[in-house]
Amino acid sequence: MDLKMEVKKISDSISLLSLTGEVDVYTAPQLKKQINSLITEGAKNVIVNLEAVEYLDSTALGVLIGRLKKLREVDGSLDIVCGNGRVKRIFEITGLDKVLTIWPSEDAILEKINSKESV
Amino acid sequence: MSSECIPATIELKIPCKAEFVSIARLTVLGISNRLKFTYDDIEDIRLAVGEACALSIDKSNHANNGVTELLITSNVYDDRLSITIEDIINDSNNPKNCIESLEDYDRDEIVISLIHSLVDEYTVEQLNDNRSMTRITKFVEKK
Repeated sequence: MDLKMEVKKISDSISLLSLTGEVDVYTAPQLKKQINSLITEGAKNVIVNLEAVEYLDSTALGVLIGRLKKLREVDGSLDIVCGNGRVKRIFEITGLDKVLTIWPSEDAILEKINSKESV
Repeated sequence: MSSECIPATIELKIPCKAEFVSIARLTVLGISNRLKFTYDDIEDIRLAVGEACALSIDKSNHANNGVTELLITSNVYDDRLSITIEDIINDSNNPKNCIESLEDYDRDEIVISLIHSLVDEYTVEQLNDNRSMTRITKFVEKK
């Protein structure tokens, strides 16, 4: 299955990228290109929703870690939404759940963003 | 049939290119389904094979070692599934780089530890010509 990506702009600096399908050694470069493009357009905080991802491998992890580093250089962040047990397990096995912030649902992180904005 | 019986063997040869790894994963998924693996076990095997293939492709691209194909051999026993992923060199078709460079975190180390945690046995044998053969084995209901 191919990788499908959908971008939703939450604010000028926050973008939500929803993925569907498989993120592997073949499709991960597309993900890298898409996040790079969001960063170029001014996004400092990128949220990657993996809820509809059926397969994710270490190449994808590499892309996410690389983009996180890039965003941190501009005081930005990269958050993951992942309630999918299989996909989440890969982050846990590799210890990357401690490096990346993983949210159980899109609502949870959007609620957090909204509460920050209302302060 | 004891576990020492001659296994049923299924071979799949794919081009050493990223776009074909999903075919290897799909094939292994089907083969795993024939054994009494749990859903999680099958997913572990699928991921381990995907990672091993991706690692071979990555190494081939960076080492330019002439590997053009990957031979994935699945040996089906009563109590386990043993899969080898072997680099194949075909002199008539030299490979060119086909994927982007990987990120600067130590992917090899992560992949190796990931595969170790997914399967019961994992070995990598270095062959001549800078090729390698990966063997991964998953037992059915191993205690």
